[in-house]
Amino acid sequence: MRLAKVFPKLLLLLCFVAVCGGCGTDSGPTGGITVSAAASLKDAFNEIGVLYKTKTGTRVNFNFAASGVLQRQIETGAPIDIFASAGENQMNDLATEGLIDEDSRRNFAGNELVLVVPRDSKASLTRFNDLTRSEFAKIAIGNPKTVPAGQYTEQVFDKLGLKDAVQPKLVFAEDVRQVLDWVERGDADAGVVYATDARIAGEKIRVVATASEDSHTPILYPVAVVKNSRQKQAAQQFVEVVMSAEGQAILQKYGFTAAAGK
Amino acid sequence: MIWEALKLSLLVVSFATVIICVVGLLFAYLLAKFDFRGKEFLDALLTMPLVLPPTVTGYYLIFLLGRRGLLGSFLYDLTGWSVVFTWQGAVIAAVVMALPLMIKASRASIESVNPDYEIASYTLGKSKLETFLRITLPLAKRGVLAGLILSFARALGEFGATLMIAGNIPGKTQTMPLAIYEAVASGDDRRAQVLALVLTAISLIAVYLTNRISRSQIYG
Amino acid sequence: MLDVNVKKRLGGDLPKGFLLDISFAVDGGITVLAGASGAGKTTTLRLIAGILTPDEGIIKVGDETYFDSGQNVDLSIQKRQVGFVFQDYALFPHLTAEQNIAYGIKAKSKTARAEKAMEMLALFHIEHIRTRIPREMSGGEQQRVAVARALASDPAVLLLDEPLSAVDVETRSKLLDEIEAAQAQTGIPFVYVTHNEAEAVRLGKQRITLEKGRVVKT
Repeated sequence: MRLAKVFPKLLLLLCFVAVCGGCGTDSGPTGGITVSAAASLKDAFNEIGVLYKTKTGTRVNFNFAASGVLQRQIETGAPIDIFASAGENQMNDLATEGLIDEDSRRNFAGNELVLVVPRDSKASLTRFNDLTRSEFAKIAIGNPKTVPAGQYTEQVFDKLGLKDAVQPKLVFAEDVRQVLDWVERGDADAGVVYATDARIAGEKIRVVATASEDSHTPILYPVAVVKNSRQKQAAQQFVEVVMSAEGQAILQKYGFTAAAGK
Repeated sequence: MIWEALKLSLLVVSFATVIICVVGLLFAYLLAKFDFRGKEFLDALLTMPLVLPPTVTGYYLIFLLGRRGLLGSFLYDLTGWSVVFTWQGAVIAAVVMALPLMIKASRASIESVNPDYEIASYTLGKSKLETFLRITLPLAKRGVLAGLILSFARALGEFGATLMIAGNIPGKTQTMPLAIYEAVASGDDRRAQVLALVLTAISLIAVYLTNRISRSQIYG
Repeated sequence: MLDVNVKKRLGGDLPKGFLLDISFAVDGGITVLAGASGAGKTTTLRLIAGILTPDEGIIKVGDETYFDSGQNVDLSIQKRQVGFVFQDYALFPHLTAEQNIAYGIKAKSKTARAEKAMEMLALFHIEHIRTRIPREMSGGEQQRVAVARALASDPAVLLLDEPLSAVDVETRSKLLDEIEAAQAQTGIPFVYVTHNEAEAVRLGKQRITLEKGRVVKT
């Protein structure tokens, strides 16, 4: 009986909350912009998002996932305003398909590939070439088909002539965080991740080598405004914040390097 | 490469289904026929994989079975071998994720068998085990079979936990769901379509069979 | 041959529950266990069969002690040589008449079992339904299969729980004849529960009446 009386009021309250939730608490002209960014950019971009909000009053909704997945989402029409990928391939594909604003595209950061082992690993690993040794039975890398870090890793293996020796030992992860997790736990004997990810993992892993710059094409992080964005202006501002001195400082704080070239 | 994923899936799911059948029936019988302290807690625990996000279950699995895991460390120290990154790990993930379905369906079916039949069997001198095999199980056949087929389908589509504990190794642990994900994420549409079609067809058949069996005549 | 002396508290505390406190002995032939509904007749049968456990007491069949709370003896249902005919027969729905009857037969070889089963089918004049499953049998046929199945397992005593309550009046008389004949042939004591006065009178030279859990007349 009481429930019957309370129920309609509850329903009304729910609708009210739902509608209000749709309106942002920000004072910006819209409910915020949506930024799809590679998973490896998570911590840096969250901070940049705060910076952006302080400067423009607009909120940023982040969508972090593997660059390949994000690319597919945009291709199938997801309502995204900005795309920041961990590699040029995905951005190039979208450019060819005419899905991004070419003019807005910028390379905003770079990265390095590092070889990591579990903190207490007794293995003696000082160079990538050591991976051929039998004490490294499982080597975790990003899936070259879907994860840019994995593609760069393959380039390094190719360049160093390790591909055949190392191939049977490889385990593919769908994002670099998973690679880190496996190495941290000791289930993988070694892993190849970005310097930025290794930095975050901190104490639990040891960085034993850095891939030299000439063993792979430069790791560049491009950002661009998505063509179908309904908030071009706000999105463009985001790119500018990323490229600004403050934005770049945040990125470098997390271990990214300055973008080589453009 | 499509066939590799299909073969691997069938291998993993076959093993998983056999394990699910035995273990599932065991737990279903235990929960249906016995009363003990913590029984409902056990039931809730066994239901968890059905309710938790697969990645959480995957996390627990690797926490337990990894080289430094609670249980995995013993195995690793003893044999130098770990289930992580192996098809056996994929089997374990499939079993854990699909078991709750089998247990729920079987338990309900076993409970619905009139206890008088079992008592009659006892008065005729048959042990609990023989009674279970000759009377209870045949009479609970529909629900048990439906549960088994559903588990099979669930095991076939298992992705999240498998990814974490078995990794994605083409030819070794890349089951169909993993292959589909990879194909979609890398833009290989043709491969994605074929795999998705095969997976859908098998799952459709499985669910159709389950429904047919559930609707067939009751013995009463 | 059958000695029962048990107590059991039933259905929770007073005033809803009551104490079953019975003591009786049965020698041979058919003994009727009579009384109103709820007097404890079915419970008594279940205690003898081992389906329920007394709080205290002794149950003996012949030289065998089935239950003795003082000596900590409590034979499982399987170990007791008790045949039980349930009120709703509890025939295994997925087995034929022949399979139902053969189920409890203790014989080593398959042929020996088949032979004994045919014997029982003949004894109750139901050879013609041997391949039917319970769903395809009439009430009277089911009852016969139920009795045959229980007797086929070679029990030391047969308990029947209102076996004719689901059967129409005309068939009842014939079935009672068959039950009497079966008892005469096997020679083991039958304990026959009923709340039907006509049946009780027809069957029982020996009658035990229960009222609210106690024996009021032997």
